[in-house]
Amino acid sequence: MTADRWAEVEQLLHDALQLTPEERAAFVANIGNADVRAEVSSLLAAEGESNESIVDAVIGEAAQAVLDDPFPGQMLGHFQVINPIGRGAMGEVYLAEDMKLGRQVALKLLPRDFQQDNERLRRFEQEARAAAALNHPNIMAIYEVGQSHGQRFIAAEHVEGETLAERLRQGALPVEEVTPLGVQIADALAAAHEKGIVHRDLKPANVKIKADGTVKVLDFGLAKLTRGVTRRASPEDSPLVAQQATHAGVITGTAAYMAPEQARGKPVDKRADIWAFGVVLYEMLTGKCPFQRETMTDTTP
Amino acid sequence: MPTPWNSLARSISSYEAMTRLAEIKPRYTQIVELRYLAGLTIDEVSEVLKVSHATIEREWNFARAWLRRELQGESHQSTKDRGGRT
Repeated sequence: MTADRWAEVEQLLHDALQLTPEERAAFVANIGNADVRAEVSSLLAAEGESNESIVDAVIGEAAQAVLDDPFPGQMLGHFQVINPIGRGAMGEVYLAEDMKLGRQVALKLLPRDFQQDNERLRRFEQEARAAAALNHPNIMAIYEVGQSHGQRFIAAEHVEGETLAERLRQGALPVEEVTPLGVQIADALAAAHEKGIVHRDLKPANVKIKADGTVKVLDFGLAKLTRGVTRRASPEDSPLVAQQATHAGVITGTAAYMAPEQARGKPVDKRADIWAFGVVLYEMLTGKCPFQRETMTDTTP
Repeated sequence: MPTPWNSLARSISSYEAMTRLAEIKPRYTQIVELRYLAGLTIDEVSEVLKVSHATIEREWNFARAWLRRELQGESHQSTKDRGGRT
């Protein structure tokens, strides 16, 4: 069938649905084109005979099926996925367009296994809400915590630019460059600490530098959310050191910036961020990390 | 009892149905997703997609009836062959 024929089917189906079931038969019989008549007739039959809730569940599943691995063009809530842009502190991150507001956002999807645990989900919502309350030019803004058929996500400001980690690949930065960057990171930390929010994972990969030199600190407070996904954290606030050590690729990068109490799995407050900030400053000025050992325990003095 | 296999098979046929529906007109699947996944009303879908309420309602009726027919199993198999754009 051509697009025109389908448009005809769509219109006729709509008109037929306004009629009583008794009137529909005569209406359908009057359709001139045989293909169009057959389509309208079988679509009407599908409307009439089906068990509403079961079929709707299957349609919901149809929409769900495409969700497990979002692809370009896919809708997640009112966000349309454009393309994957990498892995963040929480999981997969996609560039997407907010169809309501017409702006681009970074969509951070929560890992599936994470979503099974109600206690974690409750804390996730709580933390995300706290982080969303941070309104500072040097902190990546969180716009929305959403859910689309079981898939939770955070819609955050999409920041274009290179990360401090990328910038540091070429080595140390001149002092004139370090100063404005450091001041902006410190501003971001101060604003968050004032609201009682600790970053917990400050490192060059979480600092973005826009083309105009503006710094944005990414993923405030989100780091702890995915820690200990497979096992409940205890005590509440301490990252599970042993477990993290098993995820060597993810963790060793971070270990270098971790304050001793954090590396030991003790409760963490804003001082851990200030420690990490010191390490980042040192690295910007020297091009080297003050702690160059391989694992978390090596970092622990 | 649903098994992982028939639930997978159902997901695959659901996925295929959505793909074929999008071939007729991409907006059909957008509307289905916005209605079912985001839980938007017809009015909200109309706002998001910037298309009139009447059009969304008409397209939604079609998309729902079409998916119902395609997902109802083998009894309407003959119409499936004519499903795509020709």
